Amino acid sequence: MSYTSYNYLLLFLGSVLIIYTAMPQKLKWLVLLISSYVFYLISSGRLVVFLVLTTAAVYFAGIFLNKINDSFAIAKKGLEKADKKLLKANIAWQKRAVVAVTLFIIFGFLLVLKYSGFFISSAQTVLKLLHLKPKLPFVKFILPLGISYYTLQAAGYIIDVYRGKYRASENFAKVALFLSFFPQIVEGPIGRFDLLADQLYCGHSFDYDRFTQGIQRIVWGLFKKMVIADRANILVSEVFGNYNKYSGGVILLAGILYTVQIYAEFSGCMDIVIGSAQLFGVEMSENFEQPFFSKSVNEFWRRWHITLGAWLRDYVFYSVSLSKPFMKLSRYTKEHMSEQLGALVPASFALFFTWFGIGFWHGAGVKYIIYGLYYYAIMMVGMYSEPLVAKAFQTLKINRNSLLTESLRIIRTTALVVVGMMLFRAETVKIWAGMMVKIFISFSAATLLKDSLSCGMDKHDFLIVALGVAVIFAVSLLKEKGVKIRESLAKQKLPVRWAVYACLALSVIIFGAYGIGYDAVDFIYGQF
Amino acid sequence: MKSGLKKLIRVFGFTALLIALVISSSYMLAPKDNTKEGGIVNPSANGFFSEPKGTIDISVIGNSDAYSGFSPMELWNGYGYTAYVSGEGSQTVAQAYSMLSKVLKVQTPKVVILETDGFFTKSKVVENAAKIVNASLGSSFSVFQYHDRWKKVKIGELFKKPHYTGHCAPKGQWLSNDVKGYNGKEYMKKTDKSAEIPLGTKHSAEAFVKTCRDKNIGVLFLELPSQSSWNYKKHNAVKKYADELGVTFIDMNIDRERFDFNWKTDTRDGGNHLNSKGARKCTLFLGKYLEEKYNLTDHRKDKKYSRWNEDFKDYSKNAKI
Amino acid sequence: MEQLIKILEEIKPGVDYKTETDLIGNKILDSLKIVQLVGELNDEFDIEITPIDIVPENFKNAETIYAMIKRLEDE
Repeated sequence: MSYTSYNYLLLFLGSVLIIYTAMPQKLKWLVLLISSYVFYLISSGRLVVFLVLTTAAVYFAGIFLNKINDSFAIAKKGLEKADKKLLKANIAWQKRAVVAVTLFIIFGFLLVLKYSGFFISSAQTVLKLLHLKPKLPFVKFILPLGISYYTLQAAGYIIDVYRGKYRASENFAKVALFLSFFPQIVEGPIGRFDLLADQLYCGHSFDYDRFTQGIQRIVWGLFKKMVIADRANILVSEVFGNYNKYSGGVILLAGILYTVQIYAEFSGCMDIVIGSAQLFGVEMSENFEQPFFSKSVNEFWRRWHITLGAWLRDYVFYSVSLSKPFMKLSRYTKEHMSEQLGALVPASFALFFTWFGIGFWHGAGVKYIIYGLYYYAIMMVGMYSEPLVAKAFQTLKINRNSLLTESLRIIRTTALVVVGMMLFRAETVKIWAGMMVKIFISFSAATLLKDSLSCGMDKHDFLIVALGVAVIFAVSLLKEKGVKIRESLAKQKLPVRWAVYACLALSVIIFGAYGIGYDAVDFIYGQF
Repeated sequence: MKSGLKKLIRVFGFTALLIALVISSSYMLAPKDNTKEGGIVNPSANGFFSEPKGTIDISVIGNSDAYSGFSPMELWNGYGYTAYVSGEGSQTVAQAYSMLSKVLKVQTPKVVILETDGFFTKSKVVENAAKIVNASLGSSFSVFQYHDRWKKVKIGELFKKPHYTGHCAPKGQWLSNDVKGYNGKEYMKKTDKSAEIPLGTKHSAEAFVKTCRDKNIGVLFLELPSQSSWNYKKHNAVKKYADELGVTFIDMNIDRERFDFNWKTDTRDGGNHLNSKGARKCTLFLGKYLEEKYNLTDHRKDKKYSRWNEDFKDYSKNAKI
Repeated sequence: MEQLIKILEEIKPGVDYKTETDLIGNKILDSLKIVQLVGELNDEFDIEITPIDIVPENFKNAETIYAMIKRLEDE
């Protein structure tokens, strides 16, 4: 059930909201839990078993960790300091075992279901290189909806409990709701138990302002997805599917339009789901913060898919870089290398794991790993060259923070991101390389206009996409300048407000790329 | 703190504004003609719009089985009755119902025939719900169906009233002279088992029948021969359901020798759809039933209907039977 | 405190750590700098900062970092 379908918006969301509002306070959580599972069953049917197993695994592991902690608290009373330390070490080992087994189980599902095809075909390639003729079975599983997202949430929960950030919940329904909540299950935002679970569980009564805010946010998301992304998709899928037919200019255009598409779509989906959650009084984390105003790739990834970056930072990057072996390594580099290198070398190791994780999480394939490492490489170049660059700016006496240099940095970052997005979209790395080469060798400005009208989008379509992008740009620019758009809009007189909202809604209905002649386009990020 | 009443008024006020906008944009963007150039979807199913008002006596609504297997021109030639087929590929009953409302806007049929293959159009419950919403939104507010016409529409056209000019000589029939026979086993094996008609479908079908009865229009359920989409279980289900509603059900898959039907020569695609020959046989058989059962007028000698005679000439040139 | 300010200045010079109130919000410390800082603090103060301690509230400014160090020294 797509978030942009009538089914979701009118039938599902509408009826859940009515039932939720009508239910007494104490039972509201039940409405959310049941509707989340109905949503899941409609999309994935019996594959729901994996969601249930993951939920059960982290729930019972959490209870187990609570028990260990409690018995430690009792046992340590009256012990000598040395004995206390010994007991603590023993306890720590037990806790580590519980978490390791739990993570093994939940990531096991993810690895087997999502990656076994990749592992088998890789093994096949290796065996072939050794001149063996292997006959390995070809396996491809259907993925349970949102497994890449709820697995991360479940892992974050159990790691937090292990680290002692909070006590595990004794309430199974709460954990189940946290992992299955229907607005977030398809493509995030990846939630944290301490921020989300109580909100989901406590039940909120109907609030008019929140309701209108939620609806507005949903319509804004629909505008991004249906008017811009789905229309840009026409040219993007044509050119990426048959890049050989097109000149470099058109390929570059397709790369830019794909970047527009994925941003409008992913952030639009976030608007829809965050708006949906708002209807029930649930505030979810934001996933985007005007990413295309970033001055570096590093910054881009702090503003794009924020909850994924934050998850990897908290549970991979910090875990790795604060671990004992790592601390030893950084002590070693600090003593044996120059001051700057001493700090950079360990960081580059830890970042490698993070970026490998980002790449591999997006998909089972060499392409996605290269996608992650592409950003890793850019970041490494930036990190290691930073002292030199700083010196260069200083000697040339150029202000690094002037409007011009900052704009140039934004453009450079965007260009690097477009190249990355093209790799993300291209079927294989080879096709991507072919496209990049063509951009440089067969770029013909003279025929660009004519060529771009030959890929399924007519001039009306371009006009709409351009206007849509202009609207998004204007809104982002205002936000970047610190203007709170919705608040200042709410202060306007009623006719102004109504005109804005009605225009937005009507433009979705009229200019949306849906119905005859358009195929409904699935959300790209839902596949991960 | 605003009062609850004020908020409620606001919600209604804004909803009313939005509906007004949707209705007016529907009017502006709806096709102003029932031709392909006019932008209408499925021009041949909508050809009844340009028949003079109140001249169609029989309206046949259904899916591809209907527009392949029913021939208004043969009925005209044999009995002088005016019929129009409004068939849409894989039409659901919800869509059939919205087609009926369109027909009743301009025509006053005496008999409406609903082809029952659409009772079993395969879709999950969810898809079905979506189709019902879609069909009702699309038929009440054509902007949902025709929004993309903003690209083509000229400013002057926006406020014009629709003017229908498209003329469909075979009156909605999809004429095919291809022969690709079916040589397989008999598919109508008698059984007591029954298929199930989905709840949503029943809901639409009942609305369909009620609308006709309210207007004193005769309703018939009809199943044209189709080896690949029909069987005895479906027959039992529709028979039982038609009895409940008190509607006559004619299943032409049964006792096909009544009208000399031959699967080897009368289908264009190996048993799913009929060709012009099969359509002729079925239509003439039905004509007899209609003649006996309903008080219909033979218009063949009526000068007002002389165009139908020309259309028949056109039809006989194309139909090689 | 003096010792802490010295470490901070080594890691990222050019900031007045005595007056700066929001090191995270104003994007002075990113995750790389934090890891570097944690390494230094662990060595200098003989404490063990774990991932759970790395929350914005603890690294907001010199005061809060110092408070965290004191807390961990007591454990």
